[in-house]
Amino acid sequence: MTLRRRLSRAMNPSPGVPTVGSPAVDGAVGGQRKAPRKPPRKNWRSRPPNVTGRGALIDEPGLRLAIVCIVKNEADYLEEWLCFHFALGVDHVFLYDNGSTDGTFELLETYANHGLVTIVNWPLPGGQLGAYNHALRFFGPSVDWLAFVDVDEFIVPVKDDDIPTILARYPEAADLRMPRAEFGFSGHRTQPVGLVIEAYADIANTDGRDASKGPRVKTALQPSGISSVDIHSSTVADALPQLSDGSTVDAPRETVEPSELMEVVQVNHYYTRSWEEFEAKRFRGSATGRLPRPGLPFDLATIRVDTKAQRFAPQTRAMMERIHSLAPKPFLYGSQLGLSHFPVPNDLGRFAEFAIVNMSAGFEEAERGPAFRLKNHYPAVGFVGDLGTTEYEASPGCLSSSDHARALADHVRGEVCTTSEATEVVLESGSASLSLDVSAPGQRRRYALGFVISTDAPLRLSAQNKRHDGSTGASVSAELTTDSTWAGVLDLDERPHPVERVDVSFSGAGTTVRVLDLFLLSYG
Amino acid sequence: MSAGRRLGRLLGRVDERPARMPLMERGRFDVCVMAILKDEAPNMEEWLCHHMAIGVDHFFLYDNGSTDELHEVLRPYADYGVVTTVYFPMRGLQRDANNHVVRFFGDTTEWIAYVDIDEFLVPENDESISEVMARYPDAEQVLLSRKEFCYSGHRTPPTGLVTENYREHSVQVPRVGTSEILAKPIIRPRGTARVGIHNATTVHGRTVNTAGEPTSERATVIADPSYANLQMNHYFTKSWQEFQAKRNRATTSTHSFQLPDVPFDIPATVDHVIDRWQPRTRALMDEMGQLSRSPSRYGSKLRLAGFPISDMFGREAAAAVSNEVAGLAEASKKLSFRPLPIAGARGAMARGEDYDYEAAPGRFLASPHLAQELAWLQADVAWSIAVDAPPLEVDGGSLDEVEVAEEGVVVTVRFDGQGGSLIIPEGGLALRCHALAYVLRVSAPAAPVDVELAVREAGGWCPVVAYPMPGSGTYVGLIGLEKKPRTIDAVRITLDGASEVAVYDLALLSFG
Repeated sequence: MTLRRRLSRAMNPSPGVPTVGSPAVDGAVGGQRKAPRKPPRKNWRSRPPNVTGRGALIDEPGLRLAIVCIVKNEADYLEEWLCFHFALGVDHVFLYDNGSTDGTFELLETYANHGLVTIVNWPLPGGQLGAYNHALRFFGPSVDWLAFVDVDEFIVPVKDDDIPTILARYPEAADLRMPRAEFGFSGHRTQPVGLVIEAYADIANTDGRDASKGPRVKTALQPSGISSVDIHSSTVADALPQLSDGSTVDAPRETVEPSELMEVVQVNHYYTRSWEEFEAKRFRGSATGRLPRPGLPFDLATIRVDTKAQRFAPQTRAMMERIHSLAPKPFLYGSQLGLSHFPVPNDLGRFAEFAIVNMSAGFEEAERGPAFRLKNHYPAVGFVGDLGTTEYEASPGCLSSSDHARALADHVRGEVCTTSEATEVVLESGSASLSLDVSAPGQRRRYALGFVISTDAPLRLSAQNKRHDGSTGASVSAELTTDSTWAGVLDLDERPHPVERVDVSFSGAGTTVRVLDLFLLSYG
Repeated sequence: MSAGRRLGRLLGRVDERPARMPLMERGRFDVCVMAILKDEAPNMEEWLCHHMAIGVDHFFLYDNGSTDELHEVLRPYADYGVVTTVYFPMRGLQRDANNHVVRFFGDTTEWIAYVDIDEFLVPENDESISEVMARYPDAEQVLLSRKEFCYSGHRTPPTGLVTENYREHSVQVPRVGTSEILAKPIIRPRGTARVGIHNATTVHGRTVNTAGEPTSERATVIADPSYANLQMNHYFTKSWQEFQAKRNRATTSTHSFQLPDVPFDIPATVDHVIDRWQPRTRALMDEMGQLSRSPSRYGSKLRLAGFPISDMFGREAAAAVSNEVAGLAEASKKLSFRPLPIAGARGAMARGEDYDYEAAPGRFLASPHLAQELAWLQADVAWSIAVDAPPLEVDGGSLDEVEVAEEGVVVTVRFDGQGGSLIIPEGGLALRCHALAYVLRVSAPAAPVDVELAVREAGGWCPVVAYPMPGSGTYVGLIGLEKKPRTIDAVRITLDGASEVAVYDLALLSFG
């Protein structure tokens, strides 16, 4: 935690509650029947209560460990490297791009959009040190730990199952000097198929280093205790900021030497990879702007075989699959961002209001604005409106088959993926249920449930995800408070999941529910 | 502590540096600007320089997938530490980027202003933006009222600065027949829960307008517009042609709607508040244009105290000097030996006699070691004794040229008293960093020789580095003169205690 965060906590022991007015519906004019052509533009926003009532966004915890890395044209290797580290508990990667032209950006789009990677443009040739210190200065306050490794370096726990467990062993360490293990060609003349961590197991002397000097190290550090960072080391601060009462702020100050870490963690350095790849790499500029690298003989002696990284291959593959099943262009940023909260705007609800209101105003074509205001009865992400206050006569499939639903799907970059036939549901002992199957169950998507329902008594509509792995999502429910016709769109989950079907249940005092329209909207 | 530094302590050659604070606790920016942009390359320079002129410390730019030469235009600003560009490919969600900047960069700055590329913050009086913001000590958010500028008579894009070409604004823009003033926020990340496009939700609800009066933080349309202290000029239409093109383009915001048309002859008011900043904007544009395209280190214009120097000049210089003195035939990144310790200077120096180095005129300058250094720094030789134009000047001594058979000319300087100065009457390009490469055979009756390097800046001498040469001998050195680009017109090498100096090589390198 930074000084400022600590100071602010000290000054404001309990984070203040924002003094905004009642959520969701300020300015809404319920029951207005006229349909002026020009949409009113004042304050459409509806504020979901799940994000108000919190303290400052910069204090949201959750990012324990991030990696800082500078790359240039590493698209071939990035995916495995990223997924390996995400699988082992790295929360975020700050990737400094030194002018890649090989499709790195396209590859990283999914990662960036879902909040796993922040890409910083870093054009300076030989700018590795500047980038590292930039990261320490600019991103240090965001995370508890920063590790500085390259794309050919993998942080491999020796006895633990993930990296945060290792870090938790050293709460007082400012600088964790992780020993590096240098891997040679391991018999590969050409680039092998499959994962780097599986293909290379032979440790060799690739940098001509005197074995008695011990291994090179790479650093993982707690930014609050570090005054500058170098490529292989960092400088632990020897002065600490003072508070106004003269006391200094506590910060981790210990250095953990590589000799202590041998049995705990190592950084696998796949410096050469295969012979062909190494020959190509030798003459490429490096991020430190240095001379061509010296060549190495293919029959470099193997010192020993090290397979410590291989046990993480299944996790790495699973993480790669997981990323592939995400929408490359989701509607909202940061679904995989490990922060406890990142603001979620209720754009789904806003666009749903446009669709429902314009449908009930009798518009044939979608508009980017509501024909009139309709009170939003749903306090979370989504929109529920009482069509009884309008003159609209709902008919089967009226929303899902309309241009308005298509426009809503376009706005949230999704699609109407499942629609259900209009049906009458009889409430036996006060409840009944339906279920909707998802059309692409392997993909991780967010889903929203759209409905148009007539009820003869107050009704509670609940919906819940059933996921691929048998687990269920949180149950969301909307209260339809009067006997009327209701239309709405409810967001079912905060994050994308591989959903198999959605169960919808009704409970209330009435006897029948006329389900005129029921559909699923899938979006990233 | 790194192993090298510990070793240095043991050898007693680490200078007594001030104690080091954690980098992230060492000062921070006052006011930073955040913008999300796409294909705005032609508009960046004026916008950046204007905001640098009013005192904005740093820019966080979110690139929403530009396909133009944005990164080319931004390069000097990025390399010198003025902008940090984040590649943010999310389509249509400006708010996500607005919140990202709060969460990830909020701790580096006191204030974040959200300013689009067609918007300009304009302090009303002659005070910088941080002085303006100091007027709101308790506020968590300051809501600005935008002035919407329109065509000002331009049907086609005029040349020159946007802020000079468009002088007329109207409350009827963007919507004719209305007089809505849209708000834009400047937020204190410390007190911000989340950010929208036109306003933010603060932690304690302390939102004020620019006059310092409490105002509603929920308003997109500002109810009590105030242009006191600080206004925001929004060049909404620019010329008629540009506006018609803009209307047909998607924006980065979700609630992008087809922009309404604005008639060409809309009645408008002339506004000159921005005038006082224009000379400074132009001067800064000139200055940025003069900077080297590729500096040797990051951040020489970064307005953050205590940012590490973070380049490898010292290391590379040590390699060049030691490998030259050791007589290596090819450049190498490895050091042949550790050069002499020279506390307080960036660079390296070695005594030739210790390694059987035979000095010859021009040998060091022609060596592969210096060539590698020049290539790595992307440096030019601004002046060298081999060319000697303008000629070397001497202060406190006389100058002889001694022919050395087949090898060239060695300039010998005899000092009348004990010591004097060599003056290179040349500074190279404006706004560059400089380094001095030399091979000097120094005779000193009483060791050591105290060397002081000074540069002449705007007519006055300004000492930059001082270190000793341990005694008589041949010294090969490569010393950096400054950390930040400067404009100098001469360099002085004072050798206190020397009776005679033979100059085998002397060159002034200039680089970014």
